[in-house]
Amino acid sequence: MSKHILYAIPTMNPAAARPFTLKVNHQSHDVTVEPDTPLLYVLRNDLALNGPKFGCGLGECGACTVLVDGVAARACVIPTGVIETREITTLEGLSENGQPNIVQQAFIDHQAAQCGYCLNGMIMTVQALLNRNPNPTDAQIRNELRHNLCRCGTHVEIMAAAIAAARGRP
Amino acid sequence: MSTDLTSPTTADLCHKPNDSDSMDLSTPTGSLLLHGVVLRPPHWAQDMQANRIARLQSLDSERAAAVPGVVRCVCRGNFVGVVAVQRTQAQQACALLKADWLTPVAASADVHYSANQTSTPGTIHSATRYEWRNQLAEDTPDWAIAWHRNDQLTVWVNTRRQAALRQELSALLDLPPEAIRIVQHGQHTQDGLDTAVEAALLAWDLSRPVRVQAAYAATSLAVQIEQKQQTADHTRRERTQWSINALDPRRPSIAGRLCGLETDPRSGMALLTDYVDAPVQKSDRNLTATDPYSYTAAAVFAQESHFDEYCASHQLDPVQTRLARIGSERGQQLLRRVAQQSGWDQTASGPTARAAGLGRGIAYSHTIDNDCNPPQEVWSAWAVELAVDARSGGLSVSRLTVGHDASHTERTAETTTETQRALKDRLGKWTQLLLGQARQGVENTAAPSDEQHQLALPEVQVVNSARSLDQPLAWGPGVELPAAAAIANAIYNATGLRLRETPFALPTLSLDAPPTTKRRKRWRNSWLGGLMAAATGALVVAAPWRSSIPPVSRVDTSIFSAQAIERGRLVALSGDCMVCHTAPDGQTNAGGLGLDTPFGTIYTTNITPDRETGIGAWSYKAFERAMREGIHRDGRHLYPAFPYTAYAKMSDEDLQSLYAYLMTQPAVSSPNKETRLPFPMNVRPLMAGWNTLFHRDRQAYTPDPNQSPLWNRGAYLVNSSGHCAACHSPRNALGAEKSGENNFLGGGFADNWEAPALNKRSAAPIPWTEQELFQYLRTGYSPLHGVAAGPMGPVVAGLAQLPETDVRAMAHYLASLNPATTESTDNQAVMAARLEADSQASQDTRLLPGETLFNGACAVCHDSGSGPVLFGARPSLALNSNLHSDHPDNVIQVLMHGITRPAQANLSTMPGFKHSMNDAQMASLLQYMRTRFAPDKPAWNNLPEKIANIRQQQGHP
Repeated sequence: MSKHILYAIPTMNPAAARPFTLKVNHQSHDVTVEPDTPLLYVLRNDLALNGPKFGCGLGECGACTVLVDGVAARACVIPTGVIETREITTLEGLSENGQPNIVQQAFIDHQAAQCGYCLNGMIMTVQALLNRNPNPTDAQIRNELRHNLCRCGTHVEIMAAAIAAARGRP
Repeated sequence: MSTDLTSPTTADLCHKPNDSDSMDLSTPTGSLLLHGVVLRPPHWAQDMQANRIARLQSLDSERAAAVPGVVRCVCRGNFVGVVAVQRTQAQQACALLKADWLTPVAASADVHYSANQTSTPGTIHSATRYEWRNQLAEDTPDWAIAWHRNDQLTVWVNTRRQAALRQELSALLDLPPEAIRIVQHGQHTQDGLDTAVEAALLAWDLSRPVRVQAAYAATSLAVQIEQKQQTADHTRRERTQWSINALDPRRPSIAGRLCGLETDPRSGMALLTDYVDAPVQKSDRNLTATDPYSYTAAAVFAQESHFDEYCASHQLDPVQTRLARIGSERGQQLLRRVAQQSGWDQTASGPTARAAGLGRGIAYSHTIDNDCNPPQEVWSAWAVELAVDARSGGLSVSRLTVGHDASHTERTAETTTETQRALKDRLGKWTQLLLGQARQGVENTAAPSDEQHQLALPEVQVVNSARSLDQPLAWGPGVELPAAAAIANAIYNATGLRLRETPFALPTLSLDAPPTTKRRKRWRNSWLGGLMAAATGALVVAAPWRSSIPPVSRVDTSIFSAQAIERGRLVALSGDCMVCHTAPDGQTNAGGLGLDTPFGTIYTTNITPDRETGIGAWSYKAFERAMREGIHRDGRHLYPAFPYTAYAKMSDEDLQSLYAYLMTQPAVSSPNKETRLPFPMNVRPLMAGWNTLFHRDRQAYTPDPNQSPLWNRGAYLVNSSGHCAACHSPRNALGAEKSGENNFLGGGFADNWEAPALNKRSAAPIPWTEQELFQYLRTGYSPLHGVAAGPMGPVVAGLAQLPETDVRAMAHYLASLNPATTESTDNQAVMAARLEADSQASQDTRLLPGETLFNGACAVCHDSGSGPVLFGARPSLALNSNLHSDHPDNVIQVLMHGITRPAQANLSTMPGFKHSMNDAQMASLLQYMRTRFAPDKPAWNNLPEKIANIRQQQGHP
């Protein structure tokens, strides 16, 4: 009855570590962590999935973006306890049969990286947009990426890659 | 287990999906799934009852479409809805739809139901009210998913009315019936016809599955029976008038009606019992939409209970009196056979049986199900024998005799292949469910050692009709209809108590049963002592030193029934005991949380049943005195940070149950931290004077007879165990809640958070409605107001576990405190749209230094108009009460400490900016937010001091 209510009246110390079974990239992983641990730490440190990056730690820059049930989420500010049984997709999970998917390929083709630190967030955010809107306009793509920060200034290439991915030609 | 029991139709087996089709029929989940929310016209229920449909004049969906995550806005006839990636987004978009409706004048000629019965003149001479509540429907609201792809429409739903659903969808969508596939998900007890049609209309042509959730779970259906004396035509005669607070279910779905389908009085299930009138709907403001099955069940429960009351008061035999009035021959035969087989003439009844705690009851129903082709008539009769356990007050059904007859036995025989044995099991379990026992049984599986709660199934006899002797009894909708009334009648027969509300719960421990053991005697003595203490309470209350109540060596917990403990658990949840009595890293209820009050820090105490450090040595008398008067067992006065001023209004039954619950929890040895307040607050006897001044009303809550039961239930919960006023009312210099209408729930401070006003002083830019209050209390989020955070977070988490109707009652009561709640949803949407438009960044705000900070730290999640869709709630700042309040405290709290433990996981979290922004940055950000999102409000004063002050605090988790 109360299983989906995470912080229901604490029957145990809510800060204490407890086991979780996380569904990441269609695989189940058992980890024992404190429920307040940011999802990003578990992905990078426990599951060795280093696609999502640690940037600002406050959900502002977008470098840590993953998909939670297909929707973009900033993994550095989401506690593991909130995730429970939701499906997580990281950059690693986008690839199909070991090959980059259409969005990833578009970013490769357009040489959209300089230092590359923001690229995980850019790719995942574009993927999230395409999940809910397969035919976005250029303005919609721009709007979607507005809050993903890039400090090298590769915006032109990133937009070109995102538009190519949306038009289905990598 | 419960799903098996409560969706007993196996009719879905008839429509087995075509195996050759390889389509996956598992319920769609994951990222493909979209969510739909519908917008209904204002007063739709009343209008539909009067057979007029509001016409949609115009629809402006521009602002709704701009909400992130919105996929489409559907408008078909008068049906309007929004589909979005998340349900909260769809709700938000729906609130922003601007729809103009025109309500036509009722075409009175079309009102064809029971027009002759409405408002009979005359004086009401007695009124009896029966409430029917489907308890399993409360935990999870009903839902349906529809998926239209490749010219096939697949619907996941739980409905008994598959044929009606197929027919309706086929008519609405112009689809051949074979292109519609209905998959039963079987997870709910409510009928999902309404949600299924809504989902199908929203999912049409979308190629993605759309899930629609019912706005409310079923609320209780109340049947009122009024006896009137008519003097109109000079002959005094008595007339019985029935009314029910539900919309007539003999109609297409609500969405179907809005799309123009006509009402067909010959659809759904109807009552044919000869000695009773069909209920008339009340033209009440709060009509409930329900399915024909629940509607009929409520009517049968009321009818059969009422008939039994009539027989008891006239000293008539319930079987013979019924037989004399039943017109249908098959019904007469069936009832006679059931009475015979149950040994009605032989079993004892009356005072001797009553003294032994035994009782018997009988009930009968005759219905017609028009959804079948040809319409199926069903007769059913139940005879129940039960025993009341004098020690625990628990009920157990010892014998059931169930008879059933149907007009087309060959058809129903197809739908079931159950063995008699399985059927008997099901009947027995179903009965226990009504008694509220099975649910506890489910929880007990976690603790199988708890032998005393294991329930024995009753002995079940099945009586077949003469026409189907060689066939198993066919279970179908209609068989269990008389069950509730038969049990209620038997309880009356056994105890003299008439229960008019399902599920049944006897007020445990208040039964006047003979003591059976010595232990029992001690309990009774202390219980009587408690009563006497309460009676003389008024005299001793001002005494500065109160006597100590001697410790008891061991509280015998075996006398608490499972029902009492479960009820106590819910009372504890509604009272939030464990929220205050649990330290951040401590064991539940072991105390030690420091409460910051203006008088100093008060530490909560250990309320586990530990003898040394907890309340294990407290008799009920001591417990009740603490709860009602604020006196420790040892005679010390407690500080009113413990809200005994509210708890005093709790009912005896709730207090007893709470005691039963607390005493059966694990004992934790944890010494209490000493509360040290500065002089003079450390002189506890002074609290006697405080009590004399401020704690005068210490009587249990008495219902207001001029208000509905829902309102009274809400008022009780809010003012007693819920103790809302403890935080939400202003307090005077001595820490007492200020009196007066304006001050009652007029806003206060708790734990360094502002607890906003809930009455007409509310600063919310859009007035709170019952619907929004309900949604906020139940889910922790209202798109028109914001999320629950800080000390309200644990409150919502507790409310989420209460029965849905309790939360609804609280919302109903709280809404009644606010004069502006008659605003219809479309007006609210207009207000929301205007507030959003006013808060767009303007030339003035762009020049403020906080703009850059806002864009960097806040805009990604709080830019309500644009930006990416992110996991979690997306609260609009323009509608947020805290930004419109006179006090910046809550905004500073959230900015500083974030929301790390959301009331519900799907709201997600917010980071705190304590370590990344200095005081000056905080101040400019706050200034910017106030100017932009509450442009009509003056700037906040004292920002730097408040920021510095709140930065020093720990923050609420």
